[in-house]
Amino acid sequence: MSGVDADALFAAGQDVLVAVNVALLAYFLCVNTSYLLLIVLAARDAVYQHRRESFSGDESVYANPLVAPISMIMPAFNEEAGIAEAVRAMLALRYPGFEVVVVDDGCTDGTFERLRAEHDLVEMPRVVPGDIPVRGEILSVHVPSQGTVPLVVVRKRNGGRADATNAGVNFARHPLVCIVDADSVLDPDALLAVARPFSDDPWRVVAVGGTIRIANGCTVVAGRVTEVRMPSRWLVRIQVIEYLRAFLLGRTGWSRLGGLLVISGAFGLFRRDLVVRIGGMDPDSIGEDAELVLRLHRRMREERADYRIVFVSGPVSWTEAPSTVRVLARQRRRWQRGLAELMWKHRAMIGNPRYGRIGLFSLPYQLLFELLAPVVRLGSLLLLPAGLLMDAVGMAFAVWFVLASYGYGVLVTFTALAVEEYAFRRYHRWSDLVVAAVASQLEGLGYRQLNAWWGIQGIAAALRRTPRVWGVMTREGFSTPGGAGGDGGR
Amino acid sequence: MIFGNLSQVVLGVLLNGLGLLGLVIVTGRVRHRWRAERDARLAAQARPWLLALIGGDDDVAEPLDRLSALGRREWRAIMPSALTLLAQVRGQGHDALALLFDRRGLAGDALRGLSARGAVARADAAYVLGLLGRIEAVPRLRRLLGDRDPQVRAVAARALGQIGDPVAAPDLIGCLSGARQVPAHIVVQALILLGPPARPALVAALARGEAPVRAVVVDVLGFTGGYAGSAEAVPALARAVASDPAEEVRARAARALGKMGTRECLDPLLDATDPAYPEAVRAEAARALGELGAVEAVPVLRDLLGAPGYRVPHSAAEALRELGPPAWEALRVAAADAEGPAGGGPVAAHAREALAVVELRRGVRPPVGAVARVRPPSGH
Repeated sequence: MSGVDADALFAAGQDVLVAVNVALLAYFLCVNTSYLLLIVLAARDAVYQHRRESFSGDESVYANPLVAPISMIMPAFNEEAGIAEAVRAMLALRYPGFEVVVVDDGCTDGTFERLRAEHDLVEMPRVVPGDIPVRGEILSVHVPSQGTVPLVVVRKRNGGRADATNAGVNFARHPLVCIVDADSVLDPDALLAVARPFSDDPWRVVAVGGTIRIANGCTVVAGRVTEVRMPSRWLVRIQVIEYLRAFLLGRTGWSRLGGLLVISGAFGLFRRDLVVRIGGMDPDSIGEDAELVLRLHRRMREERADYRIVFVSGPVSWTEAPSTVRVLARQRRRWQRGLAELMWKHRAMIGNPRYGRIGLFSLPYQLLFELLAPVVRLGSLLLLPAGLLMDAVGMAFAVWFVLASYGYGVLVTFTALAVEEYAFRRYHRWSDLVVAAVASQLEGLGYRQLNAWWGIQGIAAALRRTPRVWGVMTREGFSTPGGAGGDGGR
Repeated sequence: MIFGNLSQVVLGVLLNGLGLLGLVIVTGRVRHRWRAERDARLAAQARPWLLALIGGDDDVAEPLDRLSALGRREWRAIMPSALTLLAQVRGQGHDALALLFDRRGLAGDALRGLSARGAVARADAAYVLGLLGRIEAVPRLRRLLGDRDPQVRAVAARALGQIGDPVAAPDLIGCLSGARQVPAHIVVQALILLGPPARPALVAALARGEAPVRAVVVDVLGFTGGYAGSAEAVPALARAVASDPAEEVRARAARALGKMGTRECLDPLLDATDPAYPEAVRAEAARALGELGAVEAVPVLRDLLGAPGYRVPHSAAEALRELGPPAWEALRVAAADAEGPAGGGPVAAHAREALAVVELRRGVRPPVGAVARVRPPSGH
């Protein structure tokens, strides 16, 4: 190759690097701006609710004689450590009419024995509508010997979380089904709040998502979170910030736009008849909660139904977040793989005007800014230094780049913290505030990059179609006064 | 060069933005805590007088005077407690609190507030007037049912229910449809509070409203019909069960007949178990027969155990479970009749499940039983 050719090739390479780096910069600006807009929408929503709190009539839902009763479905797999307390907490929720359906999904530990001892369970003959096909054979049904306790424990062969949930839906006797994790702790009024949209707009609301917050570090007494504190580990502290920005405020914003795609499997309320009509959760999907919501959207849009899927920021389900890098990595790989498979399965909806805002707005956003984000984020770690080395971009551009990706990101997270402080005020200690501010800055310094790496692994697993594995979420438990503490205890 | 200068500006904006947000967070927290502590202190000083006011003592003059004389800041601190008590207490305590609100000029303020420009002020005013039960506010609250703000409409509807003037019934029913609606559960509660005098408006709405309106109306009739109102309500509900165009309304009407619980409800409910009726209506009718407590329904319910699908036979079994010994005997026969090598069919399974619940209620552990699975009817 002659010197002239090499120079031309080098110059062409520089041009490409400039173009790619400018595109990456624009991408980060777009991502952070979109988050900022969602947070602003969520803030408006919070201000609206806050100003009207005194006459909102939340209590009237409790007094409503026609309020729709709810079946709480708790799929459980080897939850021996906390199942008794979790069920006790569920049974103590404030709501006019509900039952708790625990589905023992082939547990190999003492989950069932704990429940049997706690509630003196007796086996009952039971007729079940086969509304949704279930893979794991139903073995037996148990109820407390004290017939007044609204608890049903279903034992079945292992079939995975989605299969267990489907079994629970079959056993659910009430028109609304609330899907919760077996290790979650709900606020006492969480059911009242999450059911409110169904009362307000019963003909159109088909599903409601509640807020997921991280319980690590919080004090739990008798199945209630009594003191909210920041966790002791930075890995979890950063997740608290991430949940606040993306899951609480982000989803509130999406809900305002009518484009909510994800209702967490840890706390979602659905119309039972519609869940049955669409065949329940997909047991082959690794992101079964989001897939259920997307399938609901799809069916409603195809039937041209006037419907709403909403998110409410008030009611909280407290859940334990991964506190080690290994467990977090597994969770994030699974999430990203779930998203990739979801996009592939429903690819016909993406950009399709038939599906309204979901097809034209929410799904393309998920594709660009959630699914591809790990690729772009890690790509930028390679391409920006490459651009600098090849003199394609200068230091000034690099500063710009860092400001757009990191600096702007911190600003967005600080905005989320401000909204949290004004609207929710869950963390009361000054030290928690300082920790949150520091965690906001640390998130962009390694955590997001690690997430991106795990995300790419998840996408690769989806492309390779390796066997789907949920993996075991190692529980450390919640802090209880006088108990082993830290982030754990249970 | 451009990038260099601009990045300095952007960096400055970002840093200032972060600083500003930090300041907003910190000052917000400090201000909130300071206010909360001040209000708690002020409220603690006034609370004994508030409790004395509603305590049922004949002499409320002193607490009334003390509370009436509170400064603006002190009153603002105690007002949320006063409003909560106003919503909770009845009788003398409520009257004393209403007098206090009058003395402080709050009832008049609220009446004026109904025409305020801000939606929050209008809703606040409607809320207070509802708690005070001010009947003179009814005409303006009725107008507020058409307010452009949905929450103002909802608070006005609730207030009209609390005041309890039946003249508002047609307006409340009217705001179940159209562009400016009020959530059905709020209207239901308001109409239930209006009670039997609202019944003629409800019966009239059943004949001409839209499906969601009719659904609410049958629900309310179920709660307010009672013995005194059965002459009006039962024929209307029976017509709805038999011939309403919406299946949901028919099912709810069957449920409402069960709730009313009078003898006149029996025949329409028995009719609604006929196979010509939709499955949802039959299932609700079967359940309602159990709620009605009519032993005459046992033969019909026993036959329904053999109906196809899950809902109708399951509801029938549940109803038989509630009807006492004669019905339990029918369940035992059904459970025994179908017993076979495979444990019997769905009829036996439904009967066994119901009998097991009966046993459990009597403190007897039921025999260990199998789980039977009933497939949904074809076309489901």
